[in-house]
Amino acid sequence: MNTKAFRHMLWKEIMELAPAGVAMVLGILLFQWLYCHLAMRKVLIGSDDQLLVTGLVFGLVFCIAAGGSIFNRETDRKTLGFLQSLPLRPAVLYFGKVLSLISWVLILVAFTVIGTWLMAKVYTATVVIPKPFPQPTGGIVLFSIAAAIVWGVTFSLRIKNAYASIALATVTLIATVIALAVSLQSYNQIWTCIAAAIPIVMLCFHPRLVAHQLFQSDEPFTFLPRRIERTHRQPQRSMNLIWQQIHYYKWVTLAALPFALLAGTVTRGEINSVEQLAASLFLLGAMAIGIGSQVFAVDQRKDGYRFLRDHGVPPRCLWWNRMWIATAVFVVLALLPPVVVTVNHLVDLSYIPRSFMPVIVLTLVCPIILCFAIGQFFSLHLSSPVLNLFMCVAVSVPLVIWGSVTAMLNVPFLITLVPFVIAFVLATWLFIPKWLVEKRSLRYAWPSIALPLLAAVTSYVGASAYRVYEIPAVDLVRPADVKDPAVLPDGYSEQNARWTERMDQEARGNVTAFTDAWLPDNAEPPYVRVETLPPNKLTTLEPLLLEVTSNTDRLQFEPPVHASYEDTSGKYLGQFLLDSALPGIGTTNR
Amino acid sequence: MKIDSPIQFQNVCKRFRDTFALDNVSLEVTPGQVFALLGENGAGKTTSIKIMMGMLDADSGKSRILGMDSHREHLAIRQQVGYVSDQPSLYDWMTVERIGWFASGFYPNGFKDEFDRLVGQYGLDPKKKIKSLSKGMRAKVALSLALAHQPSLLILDEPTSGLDTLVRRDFLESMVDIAAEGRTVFLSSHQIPEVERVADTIAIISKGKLLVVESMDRLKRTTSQVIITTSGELPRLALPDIIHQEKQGRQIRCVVRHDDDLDLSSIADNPLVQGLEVLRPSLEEIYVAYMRSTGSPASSANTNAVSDAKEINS
Repeated sequence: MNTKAFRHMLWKEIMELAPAGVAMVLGILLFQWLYCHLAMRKVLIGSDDQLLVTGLVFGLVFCIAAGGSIFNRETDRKTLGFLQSLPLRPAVLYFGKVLSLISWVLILVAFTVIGTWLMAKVYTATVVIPKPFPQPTGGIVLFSIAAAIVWGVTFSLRIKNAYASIALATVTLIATVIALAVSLQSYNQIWTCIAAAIPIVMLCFHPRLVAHQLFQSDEPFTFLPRRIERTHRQPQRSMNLIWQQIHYYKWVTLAALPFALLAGTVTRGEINSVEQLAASLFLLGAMAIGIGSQVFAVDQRKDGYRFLRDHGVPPRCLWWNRMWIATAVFVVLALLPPVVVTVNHLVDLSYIPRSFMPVIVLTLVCPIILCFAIGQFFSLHLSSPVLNLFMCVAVSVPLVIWGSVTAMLNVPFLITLVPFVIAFVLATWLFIPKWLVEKRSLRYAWPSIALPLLAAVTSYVGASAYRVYEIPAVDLVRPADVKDPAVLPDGYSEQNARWTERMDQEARGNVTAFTDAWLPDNAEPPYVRVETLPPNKLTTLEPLLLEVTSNTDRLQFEPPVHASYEDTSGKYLGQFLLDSALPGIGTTNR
Repeated sequence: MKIDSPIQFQNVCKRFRDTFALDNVSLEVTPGQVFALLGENGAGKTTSIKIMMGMLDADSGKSRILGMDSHREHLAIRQQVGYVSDQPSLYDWMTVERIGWFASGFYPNGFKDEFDRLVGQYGLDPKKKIKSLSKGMRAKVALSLALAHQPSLLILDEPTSGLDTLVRRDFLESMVDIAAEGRTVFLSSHQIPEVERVADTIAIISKGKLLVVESMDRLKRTTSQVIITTSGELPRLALPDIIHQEKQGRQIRCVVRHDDDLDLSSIADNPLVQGLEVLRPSLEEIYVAYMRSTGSPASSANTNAVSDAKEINS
C-alpha cells in the first residue's frame, strides 16, 4: 500500500471526525465529573467499574454515529466525485476511514482513563485497577464497539442516507448485543459463536462493498465482459465462464466459511446429541442457502445474463458452469464439519457410536442439499437478492421441518426430501433456456413452478403411504384405555405393554458391559434411570436401571444423553436415551 | 486505429436496465486537440467519460485511454489523466493549500509545487477555505487539481455548467492554452456557443448514439441550410444528405451535409421552385438539426413541422 497516500487519507479522516471526537471527549469528562460530584464516590474503579464502562459507552455512541455515516457522507456532500477523480485505491480509502475511526476510539478510551485518574485526584478517591477487566459488562462493551464499527461501516456503504444507516446500524447492533448477552447469560456457546460470527462475515463483504458502491467497479467481484467476449471467439467458452465464476465465489466462500467451521466446532466433538445436530444443521443450512442463492446471482446482477445471451452462450452450458462450481464450493464447505469432528477424535474414533453415524449423515446431508437446491431455484427466478434470500429461508424452513418430523417417524428422506431436491434442480435446468431469452411469464415458467408442487404432492403421498405400512398407529403417550390396533408387527404389542409399565419393570436383556466413558470424569450418581428410545424399529428394549460404578460423588451431565451398548462379543444391541436422573431409586439388575 | 490516439473508443455499449446509455459508440481523439462531446442531458456524455476513466464498466467494446485499458488500468489512467467531474465538490473545511497537499498524496512528487503555481496563476488565495470561494474559484481549484500532475490528457465533464458567462469564457479559453501546450482536452458540454469558439473537433451524441464526429472546420464547411420556396408540392428533394428538414407554409428548410461543393442545380431547374437560398449554419443550428433528426425531447416543439417535412421527403 502506498504509505504517502494512506497517510494523507488518514489525516483527512481524522480531521473530519475531529469535531465529533472532541465533543465525545468533553462528554466523557463532563459525565465523569458529574458522576463523582453527585454520587460523591470514594472508590472509583475496582469495586465500582461503572465509571470506566460508561466511559466506553461514549466510545460506542461515537462508533455507531461516526461509523454509520463514514462512507455515505462522501455521497451526501458530493465529494465522492473528487475522490473518484484521484488515483485512489479502494483499500486506501477503506483502511484510512476505518483506522481513523479506531484511532478516535483509542483516543476516547485514553481520555476515559485520564478522566478517571483526574477525578480520583480531585475527589481524593482510591483508584483500583480492576484485574481482570470488568466482566462480563466490559467485555460486552468492547465487543459492541467492534460490532458498532462493523455495522456502521456496512450500512454506511450500503445506504446513501446517513441518518437511515445510523438508525439501522443501531438497531442491528442492539440485536447483536442482546443475542450475545443472552447467550453468555445462558452459557449457550453456539449462540455466542453465531452472534460473534455475523459481524465477522459482514467484514468479509466490505472490500466488495467499497469497490462496488463507491467506485462502481466490479472488482473484487470481477465480472469481466471482456473475458466472455474472448470466450465467444474461442472454443474454451466454459473454461472462461469457470474463471468468472471462481472469481465470484471466492467472496461467497469466504463468507460461508465461518458457518461451516462453526458447524464443526460448535459440537466440540460431541456430535452425538440432537441439540448439537440441530445447531450444525442450522449453520450448514444457512451456508447452503447462502451459496445456493448465489448460483445464478452473478448473472442477475446488472442483467449480466444479457451479455451471455447476446454472445450466444448456450443456456445449458451456462447452467452446468454455474451449478458445478457452486456445488463444488458447497461440497467442500459441507465436508468441513465432519473433518473438524474427525480431527477432534483422532485419539479415539470409536467415541462416536457407530449406530449414530447414519443418523448424522441423514440428518445433515439431505436437508442442506435441499437448502442449496432451493437457493439455486430462487436465484434463477428472482432478480432481487433480498427477495431471493427471503424466499429461500421461507421455503427451506418448513421443508426441513417437514423432513425432520417425518424422519422422526422413520420415513426416509428418500421419500420426503429427495423429490424436492430433484424438482428444484430440474426446474432450473428446464427453465434456463426461456430465462436467458427473457421469456419469464407464467406461460413459460409453469413447468418450472409445477415441479416443486409435484414434489410436494409426491412427498406427502409417499410419506403417508410409507407410514401406513411401516409405522404402527401407536401413540407414544397413548392413553391406557385405548386398545392396541388389531394387527401389529411382531413384537410391537409386547413392547408396548412393557413400555407402559416403565420403571416398574426390572431391566432385562443381556447387558454384560457398560461403558461410562461418555460421562465426565467426576460423574457420580450411584443409580440412574435409563430409558430406551420410544419403541420403534431401532430399539426393542425396555427401560433399564443401570448402576454407574465409578465416580459416584456427583452427577454432572445434562440429560438427555444418547448412549449405546453391546454384548460381551461386541455385538451392537441398541441405544438408549438417558433423559433423567433419579439418585437412589433402586439397584440395577445386570 | 491509431496507436498514438489518446482516447480510443471502439464499439462501446452500456445499458442500464432497459435503457441504452451508449449504443455501439466508436470515436478517436487526435492528440493536441480540444475535443468536444455535445449532447442533451441524458445523451450518454457522462457515461462515456466514466467508462473512459474506469469508473463504469462497459457492457461490451473497448475503451483505451493513453494506450491503457480503461477497466483494468483505471488507477494508472487516473494518475496520467486530469479529470474534472460535472459537479466538482471539494472538501469545504479544507483550505485551497490543504486540498492540494491532500491530493498530492496520490500523485508522484512535484504535484504540490505545480498546484501552488497554478493557484497563483489563477489568482486564488491559498489560505482561503473552500467554503468561502465562489463557484468560479472552486472550478479553478478543481482545474488546478486536475492539471497539477501535468497530464497529457484532460477530461472535463461539463466543466462550465453553473458558471457565469465571464468565468465560463475564461475557463474555456484556458483550454485552448492547454491544447497549445500539446496536451489533449476532451470536454463534454451542452453549451454550444462557448464550445464553438474553442473546440477543434466535435462529436454529437444523442440517446447513446454517436451522430457525428467531425473537425469543426469541416463540419461547418460541409453543412448548409437550404431554404426552398415552392409554388406547389415537390415530389422529391434531390439533396445529398438531409440531416433534418421542415416545412413552413410554402417554404422548406433543410439542413444538409454535402461535399465541399453543394450542387443545387437540379432543384433550381425545377419549375415549382420559386426561390432558393443557401446559408452557412452555426454550430448550434447544426446541433439542433441533428437533435431533431433523432426526435429528441429538445425538438418536441417542432414535431409537427418535422413530420410534415418527412412526408414531403417521402
